[in-house]
Amino acid sequence: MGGQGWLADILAGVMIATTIYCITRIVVARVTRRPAEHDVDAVHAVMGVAMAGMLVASLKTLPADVWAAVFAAAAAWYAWQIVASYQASGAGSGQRAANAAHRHHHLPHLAMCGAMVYMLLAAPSVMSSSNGSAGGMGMGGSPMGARFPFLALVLTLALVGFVVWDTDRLSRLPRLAPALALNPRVEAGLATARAGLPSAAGLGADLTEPLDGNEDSSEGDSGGTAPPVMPRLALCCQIAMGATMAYMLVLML
Amino acid sequence: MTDIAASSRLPGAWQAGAVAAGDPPDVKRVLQLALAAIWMLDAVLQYQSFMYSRAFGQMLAATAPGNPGAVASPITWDARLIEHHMVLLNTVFATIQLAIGIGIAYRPTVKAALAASVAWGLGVWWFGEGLGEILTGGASPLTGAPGAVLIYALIAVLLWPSDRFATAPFVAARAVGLTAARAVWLIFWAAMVFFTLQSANLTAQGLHDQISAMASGEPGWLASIENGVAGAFAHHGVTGSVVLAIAFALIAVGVFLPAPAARAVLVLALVLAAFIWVVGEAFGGILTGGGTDPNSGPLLALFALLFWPGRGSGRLSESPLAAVQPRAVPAAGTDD
Repeated sequence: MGGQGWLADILAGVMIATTIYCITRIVVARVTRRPAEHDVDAVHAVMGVAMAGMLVASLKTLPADVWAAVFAAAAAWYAWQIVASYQASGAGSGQRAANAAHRHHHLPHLAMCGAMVYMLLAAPSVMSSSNGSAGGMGMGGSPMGARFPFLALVLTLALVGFVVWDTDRLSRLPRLAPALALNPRVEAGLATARAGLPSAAGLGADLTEPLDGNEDSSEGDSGGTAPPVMPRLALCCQIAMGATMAYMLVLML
Repeated sequence: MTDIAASSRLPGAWQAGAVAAGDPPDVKRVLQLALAAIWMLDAVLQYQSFMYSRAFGQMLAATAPGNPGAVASPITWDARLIEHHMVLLNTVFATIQLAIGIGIAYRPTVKAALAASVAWGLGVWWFGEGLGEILTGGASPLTGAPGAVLIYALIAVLLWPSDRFATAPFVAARAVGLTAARAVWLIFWAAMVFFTLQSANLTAQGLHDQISAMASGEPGWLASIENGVAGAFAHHGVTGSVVLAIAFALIAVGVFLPAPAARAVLVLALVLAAFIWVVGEAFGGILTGGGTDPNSGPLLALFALLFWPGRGSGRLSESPLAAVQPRAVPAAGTDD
């Protein structure tokens, strides 16, 4: 089932804006030595380019198989992060809570990468035959006829759930501390500290440790780590990306 | 439990935010988010191409026949209007549903979004679902009666973010009180009994025809399920409807029973909701590419979870939702 061309154009624009934002965030974090999640930003930046190409044929950059390989690798990375957190769950309750926070952080990214692989592989014939102003995957107008439509429904439900969950988190985060819920190391350290195990080994053992290799984070008003780069906007991008992906999946039903 | 504010090395300003982000979610909030997710799914489905075709208007118009003139005329007018302004009106409809979903999920706007959910739900119940066919004599709970959007409105009222009755035994009573919540439950399920026992559903082939009609356009595996179950009900429509009505009656009185029995009855309600969603509604026709919403199955399940007896505090760990939600870290300053 195809979508509306004008809607595909708008969403492609949003995806490109998301890509630009994610790249900007990586650069700003490097230049100002502030914490950010480079793996998430990098995957989102690439995902934005791929999604724009799937929505609008003229924005298509790489073949579907190449994109599928890229997102399969990203999915494997997030899956490994989740498995690693399970393997490290033999410690006390505090460590288990820390690992749970780590897992919950990576689950949406794993689902999004999995959805990308599904979309790229489930409708290859449509993608390769589309041309002109129609969407790269036929989302600008031509029927999709994807394989395994039930999987599309399951992925849609998962993504809608994550979008809602992220929107709730957005409103729960005070402006001064949003990054704490975005970064698994901080979440993990927080959980460890709550369990009375400050400085425990493993994830997030040191809450004031600079993130992502920023060895000399600046001392801000908060008296410790520098504030992360635009974390609320990062969550907004994740919400927009998840909602767009849910729409694209519904078009494949 | 160590108080994090006292023990950790987090900068002060960040501690508050972190604690807020890590608070265990309240059951009521989780249920609100479930409602938000269903609204958002509705919105995404409403943006499908099918909804931008004349078929959408025709689908709405098809709900008018059989209704009294005063109900049917506005539906016919509305359907004609949509056919003439398909792109504009459908986009507005989808965007309203998206706004309701996002609004419920975003805490500062939850009240406005729930109020909109009630208003929009009632409007769609009339103009989009023909009042769930309850006035036509052909309403069948198996296929969605008395209307999915009516349940949206009911749930939105019961999930209103007010805890005037904070010690109520289940979430549904926390805003409106125990008596009112039980009354809503009883009336709703008694209505389900009534609709099931209408003459249209008490025919030998009634259930068979309803279920087999859902197989059209579905993927092969789902069509097989539909046809298989329909075959099992062939010539046994009356028995099937009576059994269904008895189950609905049991559910209706369930919330008046002691907690263990109430839980058993609510499990029955959840099982029936799943049966209705898969067999009677074929997932709301979503897999055909023409479903406007997931239909009543998920709403019935959510409605039942609102009445799940807790132990008073309404924390997530006391709900069946605890099995599917992340195990949250206790809030700062609380004991294990």
